[in-house]
Amino acid sequence: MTRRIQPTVWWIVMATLGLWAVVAWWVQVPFSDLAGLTGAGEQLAKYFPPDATGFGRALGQMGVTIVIGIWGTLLAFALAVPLGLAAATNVHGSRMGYRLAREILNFCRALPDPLLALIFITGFGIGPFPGVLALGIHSCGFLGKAFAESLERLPPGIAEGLQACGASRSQVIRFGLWPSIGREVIGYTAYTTYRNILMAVALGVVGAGGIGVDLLRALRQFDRPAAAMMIGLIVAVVVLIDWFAVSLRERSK
Amino acid sequence: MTTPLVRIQDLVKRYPNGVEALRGVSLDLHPGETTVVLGPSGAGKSTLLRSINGLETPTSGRVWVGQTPVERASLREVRQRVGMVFQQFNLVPRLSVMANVLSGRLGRRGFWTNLTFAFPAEDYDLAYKAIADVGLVGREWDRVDKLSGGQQQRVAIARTVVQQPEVILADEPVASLDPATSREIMELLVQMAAQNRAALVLNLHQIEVAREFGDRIIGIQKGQVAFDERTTGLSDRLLADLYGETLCSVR
Repeated sequence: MTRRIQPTVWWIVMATLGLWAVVAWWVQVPFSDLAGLTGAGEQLAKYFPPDATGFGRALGQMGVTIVIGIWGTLLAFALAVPLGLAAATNVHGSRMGYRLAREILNFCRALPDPLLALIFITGFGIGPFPGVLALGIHSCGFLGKAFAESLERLPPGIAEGLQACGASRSQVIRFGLWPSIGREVIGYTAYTTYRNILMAVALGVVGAGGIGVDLLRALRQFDRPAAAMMIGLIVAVVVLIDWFAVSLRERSK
Repeated sequence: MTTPLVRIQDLVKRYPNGVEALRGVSLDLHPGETTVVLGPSGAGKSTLLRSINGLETPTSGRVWVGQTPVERASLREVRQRVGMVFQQFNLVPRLSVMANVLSGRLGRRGFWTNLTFAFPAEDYDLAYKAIADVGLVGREWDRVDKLSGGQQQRVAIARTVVQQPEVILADEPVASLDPATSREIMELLVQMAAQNRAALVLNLHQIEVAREFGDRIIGIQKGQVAFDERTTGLSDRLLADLYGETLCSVR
């Protein structure tokens, strides 16, 4: 009998659908609530026209949010470089350090940043600082892993060629490995900046400063026109950052 | 005979997967000599070459470069004196020709160069000269991954030249190149070795190339030295014995 590749994919799809059905039945999703959507248009109308009176303050708060995202990324980058190097199999100094770095990165990634922000807010009080810490620690997990994997994808010849020239370990990293992942480093860091600025909006909602705080307050007071103005501002900023990131990537090619 | 430049004594290499690449190899290599190592694939040629500059750590036996034993503590010193050229060039593809050639000086440069990428003027002089010697004037600031295979091997040779080595190891240096380019690269290697008074040790697959460029030919079979002859004394019979089994198994 000839050996065939088993159609595993179908089993996964079937199992997923089955699991889904069981969960839906178990939790009893109240699909009847969807009927509420008929009033959606009415609800939406309450946001218009947006109220621009608080625009100056909102702009300042948006600035705070952006700064939180950027500082969070800088912190993440500073942590991710050493951890990423230690966590790459073709770079690591000792087996121990490698395991430790891997575990730290996984741990950082596993902690959601809103949770971290709440923990730090209880420690440092309400304000931008806990937000920066939360973003830095969470996204260093992603960034460090991405750096480590970029390093591991490099052909072994790069390091070997430099070793044969008598280069030390740090020289191999500095002159061979690091320049070889430059483009990936820029790409991942740009993405993390983008992601962290968005996340900083959400962190504001739990009290970590920036426009999220104001947005939550406006919504709590049912000041929907003001909220609409802020949401519009956030969307505009997101589009701008996205456009900036794309043009940056085009240029680095 | 002159005093040996490289002494290899009872070299044994057993890989963790149980493969015995070298089973007791002893050799002396001499200054100014072009030595070609021939042998079927998997005979241990690469392991032999890579043991000379410590890219492989032998299971037992020793290698000396001059008076220095090749061991963990002396690796940087040994590698300043032993350059290496690889089949796959082993350059840093995203860096310029100049940056790659300057890397040949890293063995002599310390922490400060590390931090700033600032090589002293003498290193630049050597690099410019080496790039000219290998025929790449005008390409100094091109990225290496924009060059052809033959040009990349030229960069690798220039990188070895700025090391000012006493020995140049070349592990299948022309195996990834077309015949015409192979010839140019072989001529360049021999010329650069002579110009820098370095011994040249080559692993090759092409018997004709070996006969043409080698002063001395060593046959390696199953991790042992099968023969060690001056090129002039190399008979077809020795070669047939060296490759015989492989040829039969192919048929």
